[in-house]
Amino acid sequence: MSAALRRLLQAIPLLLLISVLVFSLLHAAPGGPLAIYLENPNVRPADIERLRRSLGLDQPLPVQYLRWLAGFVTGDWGFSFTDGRPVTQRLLERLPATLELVAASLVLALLAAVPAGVLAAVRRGRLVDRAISTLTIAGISLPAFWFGLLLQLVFAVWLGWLPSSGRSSLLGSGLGDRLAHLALPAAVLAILHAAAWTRYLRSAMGSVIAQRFILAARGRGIRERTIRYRHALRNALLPFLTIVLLDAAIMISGAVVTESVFAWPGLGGLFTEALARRDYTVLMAFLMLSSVGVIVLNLVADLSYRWLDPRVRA
Amino acid sequence: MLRAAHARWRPALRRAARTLALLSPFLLGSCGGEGRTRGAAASNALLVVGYDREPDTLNRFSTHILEDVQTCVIEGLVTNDEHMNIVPVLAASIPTLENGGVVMRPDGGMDVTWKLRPGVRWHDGVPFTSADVKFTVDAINSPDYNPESTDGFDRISSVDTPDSLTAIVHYREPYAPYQLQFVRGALPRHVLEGKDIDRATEYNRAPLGTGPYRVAEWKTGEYILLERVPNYWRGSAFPKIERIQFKFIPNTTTRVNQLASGEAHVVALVPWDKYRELATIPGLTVHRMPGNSYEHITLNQRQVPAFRDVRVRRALTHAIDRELIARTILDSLAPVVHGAIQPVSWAFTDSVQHYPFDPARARTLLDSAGWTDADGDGIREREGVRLGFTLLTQAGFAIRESVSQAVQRMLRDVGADVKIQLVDGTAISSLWFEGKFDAMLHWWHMPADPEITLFFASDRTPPAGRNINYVADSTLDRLMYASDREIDQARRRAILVRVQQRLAELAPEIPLYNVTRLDGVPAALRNFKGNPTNTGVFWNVWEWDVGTGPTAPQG
Repeated sequence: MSAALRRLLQAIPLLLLISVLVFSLLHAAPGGPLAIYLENPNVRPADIERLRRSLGLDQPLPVQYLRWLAGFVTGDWGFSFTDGRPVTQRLLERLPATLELVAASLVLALLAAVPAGVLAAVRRGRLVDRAISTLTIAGISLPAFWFGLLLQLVFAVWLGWLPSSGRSSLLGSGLGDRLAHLALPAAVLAILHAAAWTRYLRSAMGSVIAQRFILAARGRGIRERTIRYRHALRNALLPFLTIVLLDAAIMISGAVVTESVFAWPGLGGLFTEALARRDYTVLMAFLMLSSVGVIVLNLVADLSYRWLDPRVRA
Repeated sequence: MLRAAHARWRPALRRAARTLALLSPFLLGSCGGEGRTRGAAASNALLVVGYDREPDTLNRFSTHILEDVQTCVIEGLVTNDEHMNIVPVLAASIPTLENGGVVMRPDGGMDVTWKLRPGVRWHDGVPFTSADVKFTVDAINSPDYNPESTDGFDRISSVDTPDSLTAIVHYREPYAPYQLQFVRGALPRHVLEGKDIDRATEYNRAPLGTGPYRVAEWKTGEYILLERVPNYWRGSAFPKIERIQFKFIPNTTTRVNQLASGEAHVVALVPWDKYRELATIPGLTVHRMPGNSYEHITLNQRQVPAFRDVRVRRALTHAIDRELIARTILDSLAPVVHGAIQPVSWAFTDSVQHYPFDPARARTLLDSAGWTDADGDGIREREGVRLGFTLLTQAGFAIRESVSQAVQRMLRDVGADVKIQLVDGTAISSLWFEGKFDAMLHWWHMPADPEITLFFASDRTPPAGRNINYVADSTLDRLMYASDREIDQARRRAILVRVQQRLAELAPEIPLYNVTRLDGVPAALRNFKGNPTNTGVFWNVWEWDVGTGPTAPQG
């Protein structure tokens, strides 16, 4: 536990550095929260100046940053420039949809990747392995937006089996409706990750199988299945777990394209919207939370690795 | 060992199978069988709108995006109809000089008397009165509230309310667009008095209005559901449609897919490159009408000295085959225009100088301006400077990217070197606002009132206005400012005709085509009329009716 605490404390300067970088980059990008007003000819320079003052954008950048930092550490994450509501409220109302999507994708991806990775590893070089490899390369290379739109066209427009977007329908209700809405975005996200994970597990398991203790086990006459699943898979799952946990962190903050294609009301959609409008307060909160997420899940992966494999502790 | 593992998994597998069996009715109900999730057809029970963005706020004075949802809930004293005429809504009539509603004061100011329609109530039953109008003006002019714009309101010195249905608005100076002053309606005094309106979340998420609908639910990130109000002032027969759902679908292709699968019934402002796709969807009509916006190429005279010579500007206009662009890239959906005031406006005139596609004429004009290709590389020079500039336009806007490439090729043919720079939407606004660009392909959504001083007056260059051509012409200035102070519409039009003629002579920018509106609506939707202005197509939603009989005109 103390190791975990130490690692968490070490993350603080890293987070500070990230916040400075992100803040500077956001403000250095052309455009700003007031740019959206400029399209309207009725909004005059005096209006722009008034809005700039009201949002605190007339202050020098270091002052703006320190104000933001003071608020952030005390839990006051400010108000969204877009709709004037607290940033925390905006993030919290989007979080459940993202967690739902990520959880579903994670389960689906694991259900596909673990058997496929194992199968490819134990049948290395055979037809099954080559087929799985081809499919995973296709999965990794597919652009998420293209694949999403394709699934939408097939399952929503042509077949009419699934809704094309959204999280629930007005007329439908209950679990069935929710699952139907979840199916396509979760499938897209799952397939993209499953492809990468399958390849990773195949190679991890392949390298474990090549190790001496496996040969030794074979020499002792242990059955091949036991060797594969008790010895090889268990060992290969350790590094695999790290990859899955880190990917989960990225999924939470990175399902931007999938959420946008399927109008999924999660954090990804909020991020794209906030980015387009340069809603600095929302963007800062989102990016800092993502960083914390990656750091924490990294830590969890590390700790679980230690817990599962006594050799790491030594 | 293996048997032991199987024995361990068997109960788990059995449990999973039982769970699946329990879930199957839900799963089958939602995703099994042909057409199960296809949306219901549009009806008066529910109309689903596929909407490209989520509103920021439903407060009409605070929002900075199109007000379609707000239009259904909050009514203005007036609105713009399908011909861009100003028609009364909560006002009993429109004040003019003729009917005595407008009085020019000897001190140089003007008074406008608004008579309100009797019998109108807010959705909570409280009568709508002139006190609400006065409260609105005072709130907007107060330093405690940050509306999007104070344009026009800052010219009001005070509002008198001699009775509950009369609001007399006193202006410090003549203000020609006064008729549109309250197009966004009014704030309810009895709800917002004494409150911080910027943070009045309850009002801003579900505003009190007098319109045919009220907000039943705003599911963040998903949709806004409107339901009809039972005692709408136009009578119990209106509105016809019970509920309207605005679904937020940012991706254009997804919106089109929603229309195709029947999950959405209406999509306003369809991109032109989707027209052919939509035209094949059964039961859908693509309604087409001229908009009050125009696509053009701004030529920044401050940044590019060559643009300061009118011969160069005219030459560039002659060099672009706008008819060809309209026919090919725009699929003949948007007509070529020759100026900033659009054909839908009462002030429009076509009796202005046109610049037909004529590369020979363009070359002659450039020759006469001293731009010649001495070194034979195909690009003209003058005094060692090449005739070249960067054309800025929005990234991710397929039509603009194609148009800019066509323009690049056409201008190259007459000896001008054009580089294309693609920039995202937010960034482009800032660049033009600071005047930091050579030339830009973009559109202006013009105000319903034909006031164009902001775009072309010499003292309205950034940051004071939108004269990003940096055109400076005293004749034009004089005419535009005169038109802004002329309240009589006939006399104002005469001045504006001269404004348009002078503009065409100066050719400060290259007008390309009218931003024609395409709206996808159910063929069975009656009384859909469309709207060329930012008022949006929902301006007459109270009379929309999904049924049999005469339907929306085919575009």
